[in-house]
Amino acid sequence: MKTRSLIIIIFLFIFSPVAFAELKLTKEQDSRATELFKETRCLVCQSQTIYDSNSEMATDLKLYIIEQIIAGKSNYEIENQLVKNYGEWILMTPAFSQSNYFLWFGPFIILLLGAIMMLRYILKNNE
Amino acid sequence: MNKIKIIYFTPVVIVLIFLIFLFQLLNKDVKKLSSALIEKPVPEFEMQTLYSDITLLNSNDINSSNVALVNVWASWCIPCRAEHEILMLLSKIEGLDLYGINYKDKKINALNFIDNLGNPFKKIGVDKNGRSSMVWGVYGIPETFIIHKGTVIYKHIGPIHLNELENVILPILAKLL
Amino acid sequence: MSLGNLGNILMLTCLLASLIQALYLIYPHTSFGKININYRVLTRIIFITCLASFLLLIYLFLESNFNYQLVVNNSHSEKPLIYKIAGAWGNHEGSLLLWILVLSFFNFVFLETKIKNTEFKKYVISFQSLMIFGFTLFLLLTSNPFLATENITNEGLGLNPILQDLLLAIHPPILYVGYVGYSIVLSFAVGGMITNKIDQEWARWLHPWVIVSWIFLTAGIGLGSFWAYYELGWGGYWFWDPVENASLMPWLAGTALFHCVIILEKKNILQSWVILLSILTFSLSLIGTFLVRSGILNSVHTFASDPSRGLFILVFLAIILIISFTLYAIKAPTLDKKSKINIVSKEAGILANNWLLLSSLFVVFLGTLYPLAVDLFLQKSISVGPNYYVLSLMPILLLLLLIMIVGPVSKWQNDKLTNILFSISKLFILSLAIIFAFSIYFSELKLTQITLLTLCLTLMLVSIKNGIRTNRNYSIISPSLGKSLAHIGFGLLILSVIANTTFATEKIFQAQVDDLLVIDNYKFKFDKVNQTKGKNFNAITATFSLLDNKTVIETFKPEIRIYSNPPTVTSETSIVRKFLADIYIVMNIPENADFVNVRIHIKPMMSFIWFSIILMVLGGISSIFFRIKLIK
Repeated sequence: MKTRSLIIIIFLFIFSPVAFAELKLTKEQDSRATELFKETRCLVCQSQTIYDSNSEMATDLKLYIIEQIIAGKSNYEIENQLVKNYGEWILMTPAFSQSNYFLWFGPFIILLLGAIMMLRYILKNNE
Repeated sequence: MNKIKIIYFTPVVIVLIFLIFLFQLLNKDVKKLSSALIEKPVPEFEMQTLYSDITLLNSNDINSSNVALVNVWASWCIPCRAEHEILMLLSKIEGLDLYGINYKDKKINALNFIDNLGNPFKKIGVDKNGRSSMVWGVYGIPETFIIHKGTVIYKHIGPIHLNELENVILPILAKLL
Repeated sequence: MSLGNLGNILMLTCLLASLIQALYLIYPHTSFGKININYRVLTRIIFITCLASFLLLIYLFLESNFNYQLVVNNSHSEKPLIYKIAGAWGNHEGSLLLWILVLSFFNFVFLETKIKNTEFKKYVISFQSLMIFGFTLFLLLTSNPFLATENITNEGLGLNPILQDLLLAIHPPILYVGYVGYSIVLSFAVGGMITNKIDQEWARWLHPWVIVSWIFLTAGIGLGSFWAYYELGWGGYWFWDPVENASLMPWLAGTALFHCVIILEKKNILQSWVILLSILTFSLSLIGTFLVRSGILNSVHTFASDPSRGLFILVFLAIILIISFTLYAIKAPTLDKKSKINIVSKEAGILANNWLLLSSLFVVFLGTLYPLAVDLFLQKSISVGPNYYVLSLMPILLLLLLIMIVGPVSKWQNDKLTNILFSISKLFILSLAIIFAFSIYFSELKLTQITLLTLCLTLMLVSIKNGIRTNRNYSIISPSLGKSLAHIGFGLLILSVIANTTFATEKIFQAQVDDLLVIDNYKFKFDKVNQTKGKNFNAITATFSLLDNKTVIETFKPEIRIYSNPPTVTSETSIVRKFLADIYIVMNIPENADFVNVRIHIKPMMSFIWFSIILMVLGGISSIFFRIKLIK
């Protein structure tokens, strides 16, 4: 635990917190990290992901995510932990959970309803 | 003769429902910010303390208190300075334990801060890189949590102003103590 | 008399005049004949007082008159002149005054149109005046720009440096003409319903108003997007942010609306639908302004700015909406005319356009309000990011592009599907071939993108063909030029956005002077860093050169600016626009480091995105222009 903290602190001081691509991540890990960065909201910035943001919080979270990837956690597990800490709003895309069903299905329902209404109008007036 | 067709009233009804929704949004108790931790148990964490190399601060400490208040602060954080006297006041309340988490700070600055402004805390944890505070969902200090018997009841983001102390914090504490 | 008092008197006059004007709605037949004669005078008074107030406010900012709290909060004597002026509307109170000015201006222009139906005219003006009254009351009671400074001071608190931008200065006025312009459309609907005049002539009168508002709303949204790209330094131009969505929603409704007005004008059908859309469009503007100004949109994670303001707007919103929609409920059934619509026809195409645009509207609406609902009812915080909108809108967009291809080439009343498909088939195959060839070369393109790109290209080609037609009366350019331009613009927009999203790359470097930075086929040299000075800021400017072998092709100068009033640090992007792509460089200087963080973005097709919006605006302008020609 202490050694890892030491390594991280060294990374913090020597490397730009932002140039994570140059850290010792495999290609697969790096693309996973980027994926997670683009999905995580920077909570102190308006509308930015931690990938886009240069803020301190973004940097901290990026570091955290990289650590977790190195520690062998899956993307799913990492996201879950972030949600546990900060709440669901840290994810850019709302989860496909029960409370969000209306959000995801709503548009299709309305599209369908709209199509029905439109067709009924046309066919009714076509007598 | 006017034909009244009920279906044409659908938009008005939808609008009325929507207006009620907007009204509720306005009147929402904005002070009670949602936090992922509300009504959840205290998150697991452990950190070194400011004054001792041996003692640790962890979730057990918070859970052992009947009513606990956890405040995340730093010496470089100006609103934290302003808020500190409120914390000193709160520390005088019987049955309320205050715990501090010193966030991304230099030890010497933190010690100076406490020396100059007073120590309201039972224990002060040190989180040098901000990692341990992540489980608390900290993103902008100062942040204050009120915990009752190991369950997080309330989260306050930003410094506690006097009116907030009166109108929000004390009533909550009164119910718990 | 102080200037502030003058301002108050002007607005009080406006309040009184608009109230009297609005009372006509309830007392139309009162024969204190004064109202009948003076409605012209009242309308003019309302406009003149609003205009004078607004100019007065600008003057206060111009002379940095710190006796007024608004000037203190939003200006500084060192601000460049043009931003002093812009400061007048770069705040809640000033922009509200601008709202009222636009409301009164549209009222005034409407008064001057040559519509002979006085009864209709008076109802339209009265309802518009009711809205002016409501907003003016709101201004005077909760958001008065002419309040005196509480603590005497010699200097202002300064305008936010991020707002010190020419684009952002003109974005609100242009946006508002569009956003608020739809107010007259609502008044048209109300006036028409009361006088039972929703017919082809009414549609003909309404047509220019819906187009003009649409033009300005499109331009306003485009400008805002352009500003975000240039100023924010995030590399993006649209974030599906609630405030952006608040302007997009009326745009979607407004686009659906003018398509239907065309049908009503030509075929005398869809009366109740046009009314509904007329009400809906401005309702969305009102709801949008409510959400933004009440602080609700931010309140999920911060404290509400001013709930009392929110309540006032809500009550006002409620009154306008309930009146309009109740009128609709009562009158609409009586106004529809029997119609025969064939499923293969231009009318059906426009109905399909409406179906898809309103479904899109629903998506944006849902995405914006869902987090608020979830927070209210489930005490959970979620956020809705761009992925939701893109995923949900994708199928709708596909269908919309299809309809835009076949719709405009369909005949009115009745057409044969085979004829339509045949007429576009050649261009479709051509597009397919081109995009397919591209996809072989660029393997990043996936099936969805290929499909959309093909449809976009087909749309553009079909619209170009449609727009150029030899005709005895019009030589080479036909009156449908406006339609064609706008459709080409839309096709180009989607095409450019897809190309941009697919092919954009970026790389982050920690660079020191003399470093060579490579991204894709571009080589940059970090030349130097030096300190520079601007009108009211100090800056650290870095210079980068784009090299071709050893020659310098382009130079970039991103900088970090340090403003003193208010103390802010901003990062200025350096953008070089090449024909096919923008090169976008942002710099950020970490503490205690001997390097800078540089983000270099290569963003293809950006210029085409802006150009496509210009095309749409030109399309709108052309259609008005030709109308004027037709009338003459």
